[in-house]
Amino acid sequence: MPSAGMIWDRKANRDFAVASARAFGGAIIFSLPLMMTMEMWWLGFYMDRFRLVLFLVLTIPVLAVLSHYAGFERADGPLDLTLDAFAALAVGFIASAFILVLLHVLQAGNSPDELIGKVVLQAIPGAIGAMLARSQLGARGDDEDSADGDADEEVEEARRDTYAGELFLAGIGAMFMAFNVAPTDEMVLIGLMMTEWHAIALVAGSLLLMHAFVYAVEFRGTTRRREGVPFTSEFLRLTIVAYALSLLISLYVLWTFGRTDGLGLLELVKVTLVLGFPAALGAAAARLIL
Amino acid sequence: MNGSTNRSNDAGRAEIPALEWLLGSVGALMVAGAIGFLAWTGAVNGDSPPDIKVEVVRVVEQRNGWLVQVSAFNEGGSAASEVTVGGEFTAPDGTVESAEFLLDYLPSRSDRQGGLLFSHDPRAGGLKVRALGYAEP
Repeated sequence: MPSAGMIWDRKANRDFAVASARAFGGAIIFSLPLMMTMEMWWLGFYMDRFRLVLFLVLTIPVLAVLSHYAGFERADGPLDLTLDAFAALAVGFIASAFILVLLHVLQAGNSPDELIGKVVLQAIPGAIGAMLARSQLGARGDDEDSADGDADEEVEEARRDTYAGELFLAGIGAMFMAFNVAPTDEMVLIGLMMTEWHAIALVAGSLLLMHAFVYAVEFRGTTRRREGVPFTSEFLRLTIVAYALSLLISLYVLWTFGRTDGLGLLELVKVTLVLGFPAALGAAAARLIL
Repeated sequence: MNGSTNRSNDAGRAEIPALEWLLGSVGALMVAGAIGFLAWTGAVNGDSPPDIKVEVVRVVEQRNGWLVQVSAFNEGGSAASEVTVGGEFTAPDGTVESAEFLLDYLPSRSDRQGGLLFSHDPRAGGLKVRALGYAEP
């Protein structure tokens, strides 16, 4: 266990306070579009309680792993990562409660169930935003110990360059984009409007755009170039796998929001492909942004 | 989670600052509280259907008629959408006057307000207000 001397270290505590303040910024920026989406308020009280609890529980390990690749402060080891996951959730809860009160979405006549449901649902994207605050709001080298900060960045960057890291971040990107559009009625509506041919074209379009993003990452220069890797291998290794992951995540998010209930199989496939389109772009772009 | 082994040499790095313990614990408490509460209400409410109580808050005479402010409260365990709230009374001349409005959503154990508009004083004719129907969200 940490010695009493280090736990009260002023610099370490100050650094954590700065990181947490930045995390609040990240939480608000990331989840504000969702806080201003009425379907999200409604889902907060009518969505299945079991699915909401499951969603919240699954978010904890996802945040802990995300902290390993792109945390809001330096983190090492299971305990540190878990604490950061809960800290991000605390930031998500507080930020969403604060904003929802400010916007008068939370009102006096609401039952505790409605209030807590609304806050919990918004806290989840808020926590992801909080976790990504450092990569998004860029604190690279602005600390006193900028060399130290750069070293942290390089450690995380190297972690992200592994295959597992790339896929995990793709999953986070897919999750985030899917989460942003899945609550709206338009997902199901578009699925119903599209013909089967549109759906097939959408799959091709999703894959094409994803692969373009994968190439863009290679050209950005931060990732080590995979010399001599042929097109097909890269396509199979990353693009297809990330697309499959995006579709699974889309299906999970749709189920969580109750959008799959009562849909026929064909409609279910089409709606999943529709949500899979933004999810796939989020998956492909994640590595470019982070 | 794969316990990272590339721990920094810097001794201070491995120590967790007090603030992190604090915020992490607050987060864990909030998550535990939310899960506990949601699971408890989910178990208690179960699938009991919406049960909507409509009450008159007050009647106001206005320049263009009478406004009856009503409050709808859902005593049931699940939310209702598209709740139609209506009211009617018998005017002095014997005609029945009715009015209604639509609530987008009425969550479980929550209330929502609305207004019914009439051209005669509804207090004279035995005003009745109630929910007429709803759709499942």
